[in-house]
Amino acid sequence: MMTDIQEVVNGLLQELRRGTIIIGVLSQLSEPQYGYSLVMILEEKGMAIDPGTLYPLLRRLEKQGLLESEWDTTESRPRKYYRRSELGTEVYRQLCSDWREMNRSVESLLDLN
Amino acid sequence: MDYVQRYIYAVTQKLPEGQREDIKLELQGLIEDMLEERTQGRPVTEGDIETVLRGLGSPQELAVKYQVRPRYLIGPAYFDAYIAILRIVMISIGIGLTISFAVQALITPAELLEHFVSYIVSVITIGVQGFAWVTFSFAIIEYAGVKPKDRGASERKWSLAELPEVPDRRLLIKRSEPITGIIFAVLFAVLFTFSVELIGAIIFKDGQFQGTVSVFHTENFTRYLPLIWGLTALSIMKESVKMIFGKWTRGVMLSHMIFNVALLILMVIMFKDPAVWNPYFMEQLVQLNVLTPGSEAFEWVEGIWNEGRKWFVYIVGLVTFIDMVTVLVKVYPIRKGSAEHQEPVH
Repeated sequence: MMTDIQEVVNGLLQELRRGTIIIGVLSQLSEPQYGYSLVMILEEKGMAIDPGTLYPLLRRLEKQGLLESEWDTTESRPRKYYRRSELGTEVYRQLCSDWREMNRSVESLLDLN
Repeated sequence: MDYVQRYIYAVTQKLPEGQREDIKLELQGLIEDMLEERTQGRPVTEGDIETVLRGLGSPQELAVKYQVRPRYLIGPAYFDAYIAILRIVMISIGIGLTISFAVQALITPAELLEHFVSYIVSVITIGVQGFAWVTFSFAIIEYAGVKPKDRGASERKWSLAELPEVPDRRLLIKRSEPITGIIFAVLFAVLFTFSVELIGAIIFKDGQFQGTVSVFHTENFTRYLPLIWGLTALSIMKESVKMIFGKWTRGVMLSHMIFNVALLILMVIMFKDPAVWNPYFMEQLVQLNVLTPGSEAFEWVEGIWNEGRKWFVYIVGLVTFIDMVTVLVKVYPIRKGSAEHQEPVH
C-alpha cells in the first residue's frame, strides 16, 4: 500500500515539476550557459534535471525565440552557449509574476486545510 | 570512445538532416563533460561510458525528445475511422475471395485442391494489399487534413457563431452507405483481379458446367489491373471521407464530386480501349452451343454486344452523373434551407 501511494505521488510530482522546468531554465540564462553547466547550476539549486530532457528543451526554446545560442570553439571542446533573448526576458518576467500569483493562490488553498 | 560515437549516431540518424550535425556536436560535448565529471581526472573506463550513456536513456527515447513533429501516420482524430474501414475492407476481401473460390470450386470441382491453394495465397497477398491501401489512403487524409488545423488552431479564436450547426437529420450519412460502397469496391477489385474470366456468361447444360465466356479479354485485361486497384483505392478514400464526416457538408460534397470525376476518367480510359473486350465473344458462345449463327437470338445478342460496348462508357458516365446530381439535389436545398433557418437567431 505504501509503495502504491509513493508511486502516485511520484507520478503527480513529475507532472508538477515538468511545468516548472522552463521557468527554472529561463531564470538562469540571463548570462550565457552551455547545457551541462546549466544542469550543474540547476542541480545545485535543488532542481535536478536530466540532460536528456534539458538539451532538447533548450533547442525547442530557441526555436520558439526565447533563447539565443552561439557556438564557442575557442575552448578545447566546442560548446553551444544559450542565453535569453529579449523576447525570452520579457516572457520570463511575466512568467515570474504569474508564478508568484499562482504560488500565493495555492498557498492560501493549502492553509485552509 | 567507440560506444559514444555509436550512441550519438543512433540518436541523430533518426533526426532531420539539417539538425544532425549540431545535435551531434552538442551531445558529444555533453557526454565528454559528463565523463569528466564522473572520472575527476582518472582515465575513462568502459564502465564509466556505460553509466553515462545509460543515464542519458535509450537513443530512441532521446531522439523522440528532440523531435517536435508528431510521430504517427494516422493520428487519434482518424484512428477510429481507420480501424472501422480496415475491418470492413478485410471482411469484404474475405467474402469476395471466398465467393470466388466457391464459384471456381463449383465449376471445376476436379481442381479443388489447386483452387484451395490459390485461395489461401490470395487471402494472404490481397489481405496485405488491402491493409496497405487503406493505411496509405488514411495517411494521405491525415497529411492533408492535419496541417491546416495545426496552423489555425494556435492563433484562431473561436466564436459562438463558428460552432458548427447541429446537422439536419436528412444530411446525415448513414454508416451503412459508405460500408456498402467499400464492400462493393473491394468485391469488384477481387473479381476483376482473380476471376475476370467469370465476368460474362457462365454456361451450364443439364447441370453440367460447359465453360465460361468472358466479356473481357483476359490477358489484355491484366495490363489494366493497376488501374483497377487505383480505382478501388479512390473508391475507398471517397467512402472513407463520407464515413469520417458522417454528414453532407460542402467539403464532403466536393470530395464526392472530385472522386467521382476521377473514377469516371479512369474507367473511360480503361473501357475505351478496344483491347480489353473479348474479340471472340460471339464465336465462343457459338462453340458452347449457346447460340446458332443466323438465328434470331444470335442476331439479337450480337446487336446488344456490339452496341453495348460502345454505349458502356456512356452508361458509366450517365450513372456517375445521376449519382452526382442526386447528391446535389438532395443536399443543396436542405443546406440552403437550414442556413436561412438560422438567420433570425443572430
